[in-house]
Amino acid sequence: MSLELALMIVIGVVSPLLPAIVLYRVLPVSKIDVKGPFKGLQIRFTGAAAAYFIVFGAIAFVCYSRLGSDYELWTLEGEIEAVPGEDLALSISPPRQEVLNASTGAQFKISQVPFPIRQTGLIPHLVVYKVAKDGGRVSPETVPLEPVAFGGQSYTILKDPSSRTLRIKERIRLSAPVAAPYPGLEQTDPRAKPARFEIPDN
Amino acid sequence: MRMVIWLVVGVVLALSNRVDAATVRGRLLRRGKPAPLLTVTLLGQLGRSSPTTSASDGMFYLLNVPPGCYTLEVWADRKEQPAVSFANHCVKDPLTDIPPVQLSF
Repeated sequence: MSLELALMIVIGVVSPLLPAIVLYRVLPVSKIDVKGPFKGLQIRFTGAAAAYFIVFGAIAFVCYSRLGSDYELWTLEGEIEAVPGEDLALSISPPRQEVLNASTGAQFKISQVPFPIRQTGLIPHLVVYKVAKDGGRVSPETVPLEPVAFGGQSYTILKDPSSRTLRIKERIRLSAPVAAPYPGLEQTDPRAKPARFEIPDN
Repeated sequence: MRMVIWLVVGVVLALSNRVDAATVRGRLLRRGKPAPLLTVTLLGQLGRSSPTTSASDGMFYLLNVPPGCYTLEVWADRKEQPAVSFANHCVKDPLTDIPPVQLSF
């Protein structure tokens, strides 16, 4: 249990006592009366207990909204420029989660993509991998799901809050890396067996 | 005639102010072996770049990077801050190579 959660529980239970006492002192006993169905239960409180219940309910509501999940689950749709039969893999990062191994490419739909609803949350990006059959290297294509200042290919993300759907407007293209040799990098033998992607141990 | 001269001057000034975007290339290594599937960004005066992902051979490519000096950031999963940062990588050529980066995490 996190310290924040423990603190909120203590505050939620203890803090209603003070206003409850004040309400009980200020208002006549007969005026504080809570009764009726609540979450399937019949409740009936009077006096200080009723005041406590009202204040506790208000604080619990605030705490619940504060402690709610930082993420909503959205659906991500898009299209990849791919040839049928190519080995493709799509991943959402963060959190890293292998979501699809597509053998035919083209349209894809990924459900339950965690999208932050608070400023502090990390907005994920989509990573598309392809293993070139001729042994050549193809760099993974990274599609940020948020606007970025510069760098990378430009993708337009269409958001539909009603259906919680993100759609990548442009087709995703997997581009070959820059042809110029990189210092210190051994040249890839075109006849070599294609490398397989493996999730690294972090 | 004067209008034409001003037009030419305007075009020359506009072209001289154009910022050419570069491709930045580098390689991530972990214990001497290629480190694939790690997120890489550049942090500069314009903010944080679009993320890119290292390939199976550890190579990464950042496209359309304006000239300037940047901090290279390598991200581990589920973190709100980059795992490692390497300051002062200056981009000035159309193809700028960053020396191989050795990761210790």
